Amino acid sequence: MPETIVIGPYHPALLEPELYEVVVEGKKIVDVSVEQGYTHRGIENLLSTKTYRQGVFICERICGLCSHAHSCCYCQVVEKIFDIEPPKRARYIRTAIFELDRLQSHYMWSALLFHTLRDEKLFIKLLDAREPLMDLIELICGNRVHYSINAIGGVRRDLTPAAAERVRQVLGQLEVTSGDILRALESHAPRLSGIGALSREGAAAAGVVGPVLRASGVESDIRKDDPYAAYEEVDFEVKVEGGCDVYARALVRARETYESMNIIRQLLDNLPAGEIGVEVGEPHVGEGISRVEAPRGELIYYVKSNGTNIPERVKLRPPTYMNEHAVAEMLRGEQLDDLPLILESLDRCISCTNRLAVVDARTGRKRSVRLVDLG
Amino acid sequence: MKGLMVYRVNVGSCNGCDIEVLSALASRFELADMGVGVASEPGEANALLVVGAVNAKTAEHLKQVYQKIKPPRMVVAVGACAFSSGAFSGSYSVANPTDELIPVNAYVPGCPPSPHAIADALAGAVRAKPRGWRAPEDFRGVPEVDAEECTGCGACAQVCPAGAIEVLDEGGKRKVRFEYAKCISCAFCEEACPEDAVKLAVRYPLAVKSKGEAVDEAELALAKCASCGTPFVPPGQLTSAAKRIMEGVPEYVESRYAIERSMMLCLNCRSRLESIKGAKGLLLDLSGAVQAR
Ligand code: SF4
Ligand code: SF4
Repeated sequence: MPETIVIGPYHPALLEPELYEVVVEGKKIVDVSVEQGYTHRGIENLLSTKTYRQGVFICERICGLCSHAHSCCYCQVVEKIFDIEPPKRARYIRTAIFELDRLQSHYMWSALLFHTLRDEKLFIKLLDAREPLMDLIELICGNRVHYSINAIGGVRRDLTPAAAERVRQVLGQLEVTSGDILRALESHAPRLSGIGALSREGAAAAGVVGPVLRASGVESDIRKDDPYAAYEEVDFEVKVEGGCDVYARALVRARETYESMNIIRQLLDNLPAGEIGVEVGEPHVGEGISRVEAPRGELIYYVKSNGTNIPERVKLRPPTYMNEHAVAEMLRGEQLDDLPLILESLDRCISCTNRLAVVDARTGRKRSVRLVDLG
Repeated sequence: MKGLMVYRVNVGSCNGCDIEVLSALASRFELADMGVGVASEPGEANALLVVGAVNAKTAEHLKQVYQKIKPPRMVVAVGACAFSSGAFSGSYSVANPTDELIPVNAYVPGCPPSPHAIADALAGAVRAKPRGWRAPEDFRGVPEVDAEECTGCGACAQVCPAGAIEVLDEGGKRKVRFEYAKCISCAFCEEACPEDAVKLAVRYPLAVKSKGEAVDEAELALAKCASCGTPFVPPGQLTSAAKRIMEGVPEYVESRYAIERSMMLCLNCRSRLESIKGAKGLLLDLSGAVQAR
């Protein structure tokens, strides 16, 4: 007889609150439903009460790990509505910060993966290795998490030659870190392989995005497919894996860190001189849409303008919202012990996704478990 | 308190504060050496770190989690959201700030606070010596206002995305008050201030025990209306406006006295018939001065 296990909303293995109802037969997972809303902050509504320029700071605070992706995407739509284009130098700086953001996000994810694997030494080692990168971001932007460097029409801070030099030094250190991660993944490969499967077809059907999609063998990346900022002006590879499992997702992220470093170096080598912002005029009446490749995948913003300095409607679709559609498929048929690793492999970012609550009431026995007691 | 076992509860955060609490576990912050550990269940903890803006769905959870923490419970509200709902205050889904639901012992301002500030706050709690970290040169800390330069124009309050700045007129004085509880250190006020009177402090903000400690304010005496005597505007604002007018249109310098005198009238007195006639005369004189160019 199947029973239902309730995990969450607060659990040591969940960085953010969310509620999972897992139906199991013995140790085998037969179904899963997710309840969200624990970090719902009414952001879309709030955005239509703030001026365009204030909105940049609110968007950034949708997510602490992809804050730059949010502010970039918002600025890009709003720039369409104001009919302005950021100067080339600003686009280069935006892009460089975008990749620094991806690096810190992927490193944090790796640290958490090893934490889930109970490799506490590696967890702390990776947190330590990430610190010089965080110091660097703080040096350039003035804060480690909410960079506030984007503005409508460009960026608010220039990249000084001294800062650029520091970037190069830190990238040198991070090469070592990425190598460490790849080696550590290899040694954990038996534990990570073959679980949380999501076939190419399954990925397409669920509409997943980002590293989760690329690990199911689909070459898709907004930076290539619909280039924004300065991505058209740099050479890089989209990392794809065919394993369709937790291991493949880990490999995609680890390999992407090298591409981020590669992109940043090219941007620094070719950083154009000139202004970092343009005058912001009047908004048009109309609407716009923009998308970026956030660390977790495609992020879309829609803005409707009525010609005032406050947007009439802002709508966004964050990557985790799409990736959560595959949770059930990845977990069905798996062992309960593998649940924490499979969830971790999605690199879910709940804070941006909590705009909907799904409650699936089920019959049957319910009991609560501690996630730490699982894996 | 000796030895701290810390449990983190996310009541609606962007996860920025969560990440910085995690980052504080990096070796450089030496939390383990100070006797601070991480609890994976509230029942194992004697300290609670609250992050995020409490929303309708988490308010009850917060109270329950608090009850499970071992007494004497030490509660630290980490970040602007936990302190005051931060950038999200005013949103329909955001409930009361943390301290209206459970008792709070210390607040760490910032959005998010750096792990340096979080680590120092925890060091304070275990009576270890805070490391007194130094922030880098262009760090965006909390705003500090120079009362000598501030003219009370309120440009900062207009632009602040977090509603952290209040302009209050009472008892013949204008107060421009910066509340660190809400401030997200975006530096928009610094950018907007026409007098360069606001600067973001280059230091990690220290933890405080109450909201009252987390403010900076400029208090300015209000000039009296030349006609009715009601206090209505800080004199600095008139001087600054007059200066800008003279710089913008040098031809007006001759009429400086008349311009300044007309600015000394409060809103009520300005809408009196004689004042309107006077203003019309002044405008005609001024346009004559420009045309003569
Ligand atoms: S205080 Fe700032 S960083 Fe912390 S949860 Fe709130 S928005 Fe995020
Ligand atoms: S830095 Fe200034 S504008 Fe920004 S939130 Fe703080 S007080 Fe408001």
